[in-house]
Amino acid sequence: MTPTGQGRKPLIVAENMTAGYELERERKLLTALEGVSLTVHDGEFLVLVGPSGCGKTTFINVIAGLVQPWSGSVTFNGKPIDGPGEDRSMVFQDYAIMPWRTVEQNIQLPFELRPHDLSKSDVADKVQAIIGDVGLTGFEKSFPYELSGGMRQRVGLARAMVTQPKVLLADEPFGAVDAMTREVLQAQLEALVMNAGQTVVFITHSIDEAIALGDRIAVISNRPGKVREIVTVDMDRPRLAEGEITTHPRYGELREHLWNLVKDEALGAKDAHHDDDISTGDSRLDRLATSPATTMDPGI
Amino acid sequence: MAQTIQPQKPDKNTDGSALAAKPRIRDAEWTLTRIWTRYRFAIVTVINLTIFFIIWQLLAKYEVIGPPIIFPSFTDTVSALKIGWFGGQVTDGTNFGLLRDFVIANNAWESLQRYTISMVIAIGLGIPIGLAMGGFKWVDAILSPYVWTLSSLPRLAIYAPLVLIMGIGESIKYALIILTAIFPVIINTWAGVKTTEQSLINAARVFGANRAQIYKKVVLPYTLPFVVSGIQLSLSRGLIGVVIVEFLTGASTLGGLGWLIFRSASAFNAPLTYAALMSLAVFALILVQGTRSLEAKIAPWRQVSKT
Repeated sequence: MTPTGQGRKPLIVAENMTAGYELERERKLLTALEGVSLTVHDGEFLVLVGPSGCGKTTFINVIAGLVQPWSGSVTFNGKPIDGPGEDRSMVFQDYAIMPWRTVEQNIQLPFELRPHDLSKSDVADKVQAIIGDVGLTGFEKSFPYELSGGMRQRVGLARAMVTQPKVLLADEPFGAVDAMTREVLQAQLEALVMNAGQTVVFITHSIDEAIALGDRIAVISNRPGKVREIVTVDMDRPRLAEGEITTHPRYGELREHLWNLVKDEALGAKDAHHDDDISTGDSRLDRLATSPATTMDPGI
Repeated sequence: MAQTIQPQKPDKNTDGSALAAKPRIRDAEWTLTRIWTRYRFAIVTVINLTIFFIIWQLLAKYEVIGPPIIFPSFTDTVSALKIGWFGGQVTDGTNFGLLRDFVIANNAWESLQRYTISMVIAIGLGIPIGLAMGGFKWVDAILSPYVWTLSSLPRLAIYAPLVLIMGIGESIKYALIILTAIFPVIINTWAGVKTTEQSLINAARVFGANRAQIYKKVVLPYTLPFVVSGIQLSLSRGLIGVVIVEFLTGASTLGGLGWLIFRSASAFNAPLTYAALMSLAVFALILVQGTRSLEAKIAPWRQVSKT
């Protein structure tokens, strides 16, 4: 697997895109992204980092088809994105798994919602296989309330991967998971994605996570968000199977470079009032601005 | 409830990796302390009620509150209960004018029929109305002034205009009970639909759900526990409705349990009043406890997240 997206076919192309959302109570329209042009290449792992409220979530929601851009264009495989599609699936920060469904039933959901020509036992096999891949064996019949946060997100990840979509969108999926579980999940995600050759668009607040996972890292500026710089991570994969990535010779340089970029943006974002991510207020921003070299970000 | 989630706790750290030599869930030994911890509520309740009935009996015996026609003894009440439910001879010579064999049973049956039919109608109408109001903005806009006004208005006040329209008959009883009971179901169902988590809806949309599927796979299951607590509220509201309506409309015989309570009191048949009241209380208790366990069965995830 080549570490960069260069030389690959463009898959998702945003051109001069502006998007935002309506603050219903205040009857105001809020621009989250302005004039963003960004290309996601086929098979690459693109990470978006940037301060809270810079529009990363809006960007990923546009790709998912949940939000329509106000102007500009976003195409997938050359066609404008018009609503969700089975080629794109998503992992959510707050898991968004159905509390009334067991692990199995949650993972099976995509097959219930979209028509497919698989037999019942084929579906069951696929569900069982992905349960094994994410390490949930033995918990098939458990309900989400019986699981820890890390395990719930495994369910979210399995649900997103079970249909083997072309693109995996992840909106800060490990943000609410404790630091140790987070590393395990990162390694699992890398393995899953390398296996299936997926294209991934991944949002994170952690620079370490961005370097660990990304082929390229797009640093988004303050609201209204723009792409400030795209950093290529020239490190071979698999990076996480062995464990320590921080000892890699390139790691320190990349981290410092990214940190300087993000720090400016984060400090400048202090006066941004609205958070378009799942709102944790300014505390996350403060943490980002002051975080030490190894982020142990437990999220909310 | 805490015990049921405790075995999951270690997952936080080990995240499910199996290092279990000992089984993670074992049977606890039966010690005296555990028996006490487990049954203390039942033991305390038995003692509590025994003391309550003894004090009642003493208060009546020494006529602290008043003579027997005003405040009956516990034992007279029990014999009224026995005769009213199962029939038998009046033995102790008190004036039991209204008290005939099976009088409580017959009136209770009368009330139960009225109550059941009204509740079936109230729930059967309330759920679809609540769903429609939650799901369609226009239905909400059109119905909400009436729903909110009627639900905040003391239902007794509607009685007079209803009498003008319907007269005093069987139908007004049903109408008033239904009007008393229906709103908690409507409002709770509406609230369930309205508060359905947006992220769950978004997830369903990403995985391909259309509007109908979002309703079926997300909104309805999410709303179900709300409906159950709405029904729970409605059932006790409906009980109030039955008693009030039977009191208001009156009857010469067989007016229902509510009627019997008021009628026997005005005939100064205190033991019968208390016996009928106790029957009602027991029924209400069974009802509320029954629906409480229903909620736990239907939505276990809500029970745990509450603790």
